[in-house]
Amino acid sequence: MRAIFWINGWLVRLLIVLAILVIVAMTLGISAEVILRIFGFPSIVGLIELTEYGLFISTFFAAPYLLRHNEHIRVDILMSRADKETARVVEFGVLLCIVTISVITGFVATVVMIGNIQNNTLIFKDLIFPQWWLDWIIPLTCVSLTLQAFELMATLWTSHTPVSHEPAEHVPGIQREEMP
Amino acid sequence: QEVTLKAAVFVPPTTTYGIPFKRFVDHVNETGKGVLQIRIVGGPEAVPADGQAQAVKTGVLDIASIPPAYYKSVMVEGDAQVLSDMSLAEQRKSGAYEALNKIAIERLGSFYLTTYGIGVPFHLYVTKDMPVKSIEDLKGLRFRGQPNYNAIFKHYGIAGVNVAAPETYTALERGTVQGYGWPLWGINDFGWEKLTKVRVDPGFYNVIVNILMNKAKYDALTPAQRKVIDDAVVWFEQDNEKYTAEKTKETLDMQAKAGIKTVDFGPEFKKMAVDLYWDDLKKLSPDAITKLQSQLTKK
Amino acid sequence: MSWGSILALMFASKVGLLLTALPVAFVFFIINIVGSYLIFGGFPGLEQMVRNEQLSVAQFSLVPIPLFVLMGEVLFHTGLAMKSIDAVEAVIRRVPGRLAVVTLVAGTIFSAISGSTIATTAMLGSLLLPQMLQRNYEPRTAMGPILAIGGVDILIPPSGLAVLLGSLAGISISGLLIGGIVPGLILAALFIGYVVLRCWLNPALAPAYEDSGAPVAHPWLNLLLTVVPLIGVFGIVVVSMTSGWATPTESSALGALATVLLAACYGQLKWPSLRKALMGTAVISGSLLFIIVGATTFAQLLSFSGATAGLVAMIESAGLPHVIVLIGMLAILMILGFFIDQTSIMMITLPFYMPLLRTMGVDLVWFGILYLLCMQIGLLTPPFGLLLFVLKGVAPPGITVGQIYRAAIPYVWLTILMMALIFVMPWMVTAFVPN
Ligand code: NA
Ligand code: NA
Repeated sequence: MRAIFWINGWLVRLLIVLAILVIVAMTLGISAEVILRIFGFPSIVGLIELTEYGLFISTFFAAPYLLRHNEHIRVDILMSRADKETARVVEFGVLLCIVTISVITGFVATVVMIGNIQNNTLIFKDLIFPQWWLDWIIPLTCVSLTLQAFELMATLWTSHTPVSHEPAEHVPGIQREEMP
Repeated sequence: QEVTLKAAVFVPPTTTYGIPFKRFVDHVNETGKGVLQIRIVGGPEAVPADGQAQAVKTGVLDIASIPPAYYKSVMVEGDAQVLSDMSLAEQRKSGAYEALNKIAIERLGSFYLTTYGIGVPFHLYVTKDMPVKSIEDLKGLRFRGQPNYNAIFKHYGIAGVNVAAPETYTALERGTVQGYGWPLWGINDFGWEKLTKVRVDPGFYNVIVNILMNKAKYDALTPAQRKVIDDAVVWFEQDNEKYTAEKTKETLDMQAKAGIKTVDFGPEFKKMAVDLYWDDLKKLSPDAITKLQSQLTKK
Repeated sequence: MSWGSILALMFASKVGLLLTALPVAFVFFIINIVGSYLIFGGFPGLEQMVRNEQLSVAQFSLVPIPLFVLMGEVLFHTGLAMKSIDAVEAVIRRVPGRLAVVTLVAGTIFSAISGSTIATTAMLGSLLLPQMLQRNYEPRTAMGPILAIGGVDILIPPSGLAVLLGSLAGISISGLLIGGIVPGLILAALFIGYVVLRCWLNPALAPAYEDSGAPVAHPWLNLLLTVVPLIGVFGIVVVSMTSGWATPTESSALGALATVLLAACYGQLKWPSLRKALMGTAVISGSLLFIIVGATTFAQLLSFSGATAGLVAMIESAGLPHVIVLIGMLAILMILGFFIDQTSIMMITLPFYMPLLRTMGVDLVWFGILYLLCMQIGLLTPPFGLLLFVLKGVAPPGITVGQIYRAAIPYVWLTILMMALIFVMPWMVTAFVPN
């Protein structure tokens, strides 16, 4: 089990790095398009479509990392006031809920992907390519989310440090060590 | 007993290309009281346009009113209808409609109840203040287009720029693009008529919007319920010809009143546009398209 | 089941689940799974849900969100922000509540380059709050301006929330961005006026202090040299948009690129700071967009079930005067703002609001600006106020949540005053929007 968590830890990091690379590529690509246009060059074919897919990919690939580092936006006003034992139980329930959601979504998304592979479904816009090239993103994200949630549950089970629900711990995009 | 079918349309039902569908539904709901009703669950805000055909296939929706571009991923042959020079009655008579339906049943589990938008062509509109005499004048300009303009843009050296719909007005106004491709109807939905200087004639292709219905659902209806739909289709196809003619006249008047000049590039321009698109389609599905071309083109 | 009970059920389960501290995005997902199964219908309904999720964020008009966030993050992590705060501080000297005023002025300048209120608040809070507390500023006087500046940031382009509103509502994005400039500046002036007045009436709130740092030789020239390049980046965003070189989305990419280049010109673009800025961008925009994924399907379910149409028809048929309906709509936004995040509020209300606004024929950009101000108020109101959390995160130990939200209260009232002004004087917005 620990080995699987270890591998998933690296998957989570790999996915966030890919998410960042996609955002960088979007910035550079769109800027290049404008600059090319000012100098009278034609548009980059399919660029807009690619950035749309890029946004989808970076959003989903960031999700497991957000879970790992408790960066998902959440309302902890009630839980931060609950006693330690209640907070632990509720947090366990929250993680179980995330597992359930990820398993269901991942399963359905996989069914959709298999269907699209069998029917040779193509995407027809400026670019033409098989639909399943996009379809594996959600299943992969769901696998990673599920394993990540299990890992957090395991940690919660074995350790006795109280669940930290304090809003203080939660500044989107800012790590603890960066605070003055 | 009364059955209620769930329907969606690819644009909001109150906009130009949603209204004909709304008319169809209103007629059904009027004639089908106590037998069969259709509830429009909404436009793309309820089911994304790209997902509506699939939703009919799986039975999430019973009916969807969408152009073939939205289900091209499973049925490229749908686009053939866009290139036809026939009326709907002629398409039914030549066997083309049946052929398309056969493919739709096989791939989408659904069939075409009817079609609207036939006879409403696509145009090029120029927003830059400049003289336009021939297609050569448009060379090197930047146009906002949809994928179905790609072949023409490429052929005539126009740079196709993909601009998101809410940003298009600004892009036209500021000259980010100098023109756009859009059908005859509906440029006033976005206020673009205020920015448009020239419309290029002749228009080419047809706006095709097919009313798709889930086959299994249709088969499961009682004869009386089916009759409501079948009769509505007959009524719609007669009435819609009148509606289309009136709406087209109204649109031409509106565009003239808005000060949009026209320029005629001659019949070769239209023929070239159609030929280019047939060639594109043939690359994707050679046999079916060749057959459909003969069934959809007047001898 | 009637649309009324579906509506009630979906909202009740949403609020209930939110309070268990399940992340907002997952609250939507779980309601969507149940709702899709029941409303869309069985397993095909779930497949529909997954397809919709894929399409929901693949929208070109949402692209500015990560790019605008990137601008703010680069400003924060490369130290460009600190430089300009020092420059502003050297100029503003003999004013009551000096550092609070510095916060507001510097914040307004950052607003013109940061598209993320979270980044701006975190930046001002971590850089200026410790200084103010060290100089014995009363905590509420110190924290209020930091929270308040978010409202200015939302209005002055670049603004991620304005882009989101424009793209979800179909309101002209450039109209919203440009229409927000003047109200944003007036709001900043209101805030500054309030701080100065308070501190002048009660100097104990912000004790004057002797400068300890080395004096700057030519403070105004220094300010000019520091701030002009930042204004230049702002100029790139606005000018490329208004001149027709780029669409609003494209201008956000140019802005992000220009910010990075600017940091490089100052020699501040080191790998660790760039890495932090990129990571922050992925995290902030990822958490917002992931909520959009869930909220889109939620809104589709509301539509599909007939709840949206039912509610709109009910309001329309009530025959209330437009002014009452508009005020009611804004009040609902503020009430929702207490409990839910801004992205979700937009996703939930816009399907109801836009048809109503269109039938009433009101100016959409004008209403959009009022809408954004409601969003800002929501960021500051407990229990769910994102900026309150952010400031709590960067504040020194000992500052309580209670102190933070009491600090925000006067600025919430000033924002409401600003809304009233815009409501009765629409020209404050419309006069500056082309066409
Ligand atoms: Na801003
Ligand atoms: Na709030």
